[in-house]
Amino acid sequence: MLNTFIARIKPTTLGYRKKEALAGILMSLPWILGFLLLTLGPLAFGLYSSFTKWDIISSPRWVGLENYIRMFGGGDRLFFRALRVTLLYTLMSAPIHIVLDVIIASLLNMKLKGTNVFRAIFYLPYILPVVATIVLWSWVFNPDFGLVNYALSLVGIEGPKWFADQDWALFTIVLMNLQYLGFGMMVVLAGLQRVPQELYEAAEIDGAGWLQKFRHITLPLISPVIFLLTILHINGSFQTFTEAFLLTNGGPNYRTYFYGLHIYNEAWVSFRMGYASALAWILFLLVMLITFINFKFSKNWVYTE
Amino acid sequence: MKINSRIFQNRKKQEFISKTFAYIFLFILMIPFITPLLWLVSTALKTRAQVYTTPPVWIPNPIQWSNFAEAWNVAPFALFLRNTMITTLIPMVGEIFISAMVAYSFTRVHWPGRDKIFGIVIAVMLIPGIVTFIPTFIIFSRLQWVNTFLPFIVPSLFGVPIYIFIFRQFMLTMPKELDDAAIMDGASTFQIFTRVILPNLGASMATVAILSFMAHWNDFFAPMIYLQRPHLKTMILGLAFFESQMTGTGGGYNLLVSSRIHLVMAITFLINLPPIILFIFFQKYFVRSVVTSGIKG
Repeated sequence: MLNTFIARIKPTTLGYRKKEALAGILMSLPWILGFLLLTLGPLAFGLYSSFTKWDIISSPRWVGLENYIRMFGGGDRLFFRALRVTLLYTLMSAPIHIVLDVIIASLLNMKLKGTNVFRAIFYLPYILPVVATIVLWSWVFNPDFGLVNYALSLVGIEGPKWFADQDWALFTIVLMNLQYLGFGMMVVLAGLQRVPQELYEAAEIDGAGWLQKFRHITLPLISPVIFLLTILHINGSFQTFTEAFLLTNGGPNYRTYFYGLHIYNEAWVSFRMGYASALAWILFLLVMLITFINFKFSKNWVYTE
Repeated sequence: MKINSRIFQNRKKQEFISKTFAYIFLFILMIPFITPLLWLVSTALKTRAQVYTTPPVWIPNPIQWSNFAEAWNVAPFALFLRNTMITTLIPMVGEIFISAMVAYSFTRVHWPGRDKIFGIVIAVMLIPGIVTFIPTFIIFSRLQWVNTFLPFIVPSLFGVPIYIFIFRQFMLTMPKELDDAAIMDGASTFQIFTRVILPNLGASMATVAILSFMAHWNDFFAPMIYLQRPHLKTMILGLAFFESQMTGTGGGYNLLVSSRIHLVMAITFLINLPPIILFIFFQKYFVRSVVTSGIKG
């Protein structure tokens, strides 16, 4: 119906602008409608739900701030636990990721033979299904028959129980997820390739070593890329779910009890949709706050032309 | 002259050393990226007896090709594959067409408020998915859409911000003369899109198609929530379900201590295969997707 309606708008010179505008609005309508129905509507509906008690079967009951009081007032011990685990994970994984992204991208930017093959290998794990990867890596980290502990045994180290050891579980997830650095690596590489070569040549004439060149040319010029990756990485880390859900179920001893898992458990195990909505909204505000702080801070270290 | 050539010699030597070190570093860093995948293939082809040996066997003997057939039949994977095709291909077509159309209206058609609304398209990408997922789930479950494929098909008809963005980047580089020529021929704005723009989207179309296919093929959360009946499960759900069955944790998922790990690995390999094949043949589009979404975003 939409098609025939739009098709009828023939361009006559008179009033063509008007018809073009109408066609433009009609053609962007799917997204605008989608934004209202699948983003803005649910956001508002979720906010409303967060002030209710709701098990999805019966109708919602308005409880005012009760969910938020429960969350911050200590009525839900797991809330702070989940927040801690998620923050800890982000603080561990974001710096390692970004440093490795820059190192590998710099190595790939040296125009070595076979760069394409290296790049493909570093990028490949990023595109594989998370579930398949988790299944594979739980086997790789298997304490008794896994590759990692076998490799360690070759150098005389008895490896830990990784996902099953409460002191190692979270860090093992950090290690496992390092295989997704291919995305960041590509973004940094694209940034590196846009640094003008003349700058390096000029610095070399002045006798600058590689460290100085990196410090004073490369780093400032790719700082916008690093900034973007930081934002994306934090955003992603805060939504970590599948690893905890499939591998550890939040354990051992809640050491990998991610915020995402807590939301899931409240919504789909305990069917407390109101409380889960409140948790999700707090996550939303937190991510926004961190992004905002990042933008504020970025003026100090991100180089803009 | 002499000094110059010595400097040149020194430089060459320095370059040789730094390149050698770069290779060594790259090889070491590569190990955790490639070894597990080789290990996956190896385990998928082993007999049960060879799975649990120390030191590990790398080249299976005999090579047990029948693992794939056996694993495929442990759970109804043919059915799961059919379901995955529905949750992957139909949304993919919808997302490509609608996102391209919306991108067109944001790029080459003039209408009031256009650029402001495009700003919203970008901003929406930053909202954590779970925030809208819960209320959307409540609405969809009220509509009786749980245990149907509608939660996958319907949202795809509204376009996806990141794809709209990728198409827009591409359309900005298309010559304006294309549109003008069509206008001369009396084409309407919508006809310009279907006749002139859509057939010429080439690289960006491939990029979006790949991204969309991968997103749906790899997806776990939405299928887990919406497809609860066994006969509706997708490949990925089948793998998770299969693994928990093999490990005897019965739906609690949890750690893998299976006695039939070679079968689990066989399925894992099959699930990884489509993304790997796509990647091998269309690597440049993957690269492009990262560069457009990363740098310009």
